[in-house]
Amino acid sequence: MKARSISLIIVAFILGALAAGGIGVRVIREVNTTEDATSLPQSSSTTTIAGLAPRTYQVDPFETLVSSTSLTPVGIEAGGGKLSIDYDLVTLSPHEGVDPIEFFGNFGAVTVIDNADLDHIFPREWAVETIDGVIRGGPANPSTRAARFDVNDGFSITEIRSVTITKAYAPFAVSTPFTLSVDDPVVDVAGGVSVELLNISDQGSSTIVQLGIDLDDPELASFFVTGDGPGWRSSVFEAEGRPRVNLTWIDGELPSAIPLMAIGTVWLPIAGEFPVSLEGIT
Amino acid sequence: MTDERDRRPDYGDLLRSPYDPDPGSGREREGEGDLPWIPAVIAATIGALVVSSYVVFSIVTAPEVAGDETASTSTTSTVPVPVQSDELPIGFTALTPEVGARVEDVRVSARGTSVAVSTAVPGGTDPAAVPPIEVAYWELESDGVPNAMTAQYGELGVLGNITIEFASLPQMRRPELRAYVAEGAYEQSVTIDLPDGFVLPETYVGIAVDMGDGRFVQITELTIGDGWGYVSWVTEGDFPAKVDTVVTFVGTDDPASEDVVDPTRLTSPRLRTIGQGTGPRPVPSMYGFSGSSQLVRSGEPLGESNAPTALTVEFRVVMPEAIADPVPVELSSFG
Repeated sequence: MKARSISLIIVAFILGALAAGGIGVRVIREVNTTEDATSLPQSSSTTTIAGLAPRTYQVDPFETLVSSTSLTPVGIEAGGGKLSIDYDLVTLSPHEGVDPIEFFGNFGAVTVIDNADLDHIFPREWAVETIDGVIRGGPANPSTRAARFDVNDGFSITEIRSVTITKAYAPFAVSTPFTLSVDDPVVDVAGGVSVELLNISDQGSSTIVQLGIDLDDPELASFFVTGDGPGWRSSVFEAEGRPRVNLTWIDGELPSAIPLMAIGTVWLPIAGEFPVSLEGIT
Repeated sequence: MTDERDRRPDYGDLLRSPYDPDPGSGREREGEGDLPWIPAVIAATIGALVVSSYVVFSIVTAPEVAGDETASTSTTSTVPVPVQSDELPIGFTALTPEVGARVEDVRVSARGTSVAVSTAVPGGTDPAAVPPIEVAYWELESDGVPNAMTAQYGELGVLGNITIEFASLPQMRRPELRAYVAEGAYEQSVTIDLPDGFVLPETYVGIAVDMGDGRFVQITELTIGDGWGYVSWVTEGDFPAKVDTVVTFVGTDDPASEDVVDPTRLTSPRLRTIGQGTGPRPVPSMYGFSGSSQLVRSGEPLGESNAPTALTVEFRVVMPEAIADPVPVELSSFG
């Protein structure tokens, strides 16, 4: 047997070994893949992500933070062409010693709203991404704790890929002095809120000033107008239809520039979009 | 010397056919045209068997993974369990160890610049156990020029959200918001008997509340009507304050009255007694260098049967004991 033959035998041996090795590696991978599906990550993945810091949360592991409020989905339901995602709101704002808000009703009745039950944010617009596209919806008003969506009759929550709050608001107080006059009867007192001088009438020694409040978006503002400075007495607020305020001036001749004060709440947009996790819903 | 065998005839040459190739061609030389395929196949088979044996051995002797203790341990470290933060939410600047602030909105109009700030406590802290932040005053710097606030306020129902007003700054350049947090509080209450012979409505000016060390709260105007009132004030001595006012209509006690407020009073809105009519919602007091407020009635309306015989007015003034170093609050995204 010559050297050339020996080389050929060696090459054949190596080829055979390589072929068997290739098949063997494939077999080993298959075996490992099968085991991974029913067991836990292997040591190889340990070395890959062991350095990740644990995810943190403020109130709930499945919360979405909007401004200083934690929003956590607590329920989801689909049926009859509707999808509803219920959620809780928990404020992070410090409020020890802050009185609860009170509403005065008829016959001296007082309604007290606990601070925990206030509308801390208004997550107004939501987007649900499904396998077929994006469905848009949201809560009807700040007091609603459910985002609702119109979906197909056969819609299943398993079709949901992701949920995002695309537009959210937080309430802020507004206390703005302003003046109105016959020559300048309309003033924009805040974004989307204007006050109009409707009428001035004498009533005995007093003067009645009637004002109208226009809100571009009634869901995003709640306003009251009072007189600013001395000379003003009672005010009457009419909320039916277009809000109106009747103010009584009792200090002689009404100033040509009528001093007024707009007091209320505006919902200001919070920058950003906020992914919502449904994992915590039981 | 020549070996005998070297002289033996070459039978190959004798047996060569005339049709055989030229023996000068290397490829067709004797014995080299027949490759050793059988040994090669055997060698390949042996190689495959050796490696296959190793593969089988590796699979059979591999450690169990499912349910293995080592695997469980590695899972704990590779899939981190969410943990409750003990820090402020992202984007909030610590004003104190317990409260952080974040700018949510900036609006500029001809009437002024309005900055909306939200506040929050760190994770794991009960917000109902932490009082709202007391900022003595805010400063908004633009293009290197500081501007002190003209007012700050919140509202019941708007927990922890603060609206800060500044003079109008239509073109903010390199803006920076700074919070000067109040440390401690000093309260001074002064009750004044107003002069007799009043006829409502009556207006009083020139009343001062001495806060010590040359600091005063000047009551620029106090107007008292028979069921309404108004007060305005300004601090002298470069300090912020909170001022609440209580006007008491002396002599309006009515033993037969079932009203909870007796005698009748006018107060700052936040001191209004529950159940006494409607009106502007009470606003929590915040520090300011000046302020004004409508006064609201608590108690029975005044009439001929319960006309006041005298008037007293109480000013409750609170000022910070000290003011901390300024804390910059991120504002760059609004510049």
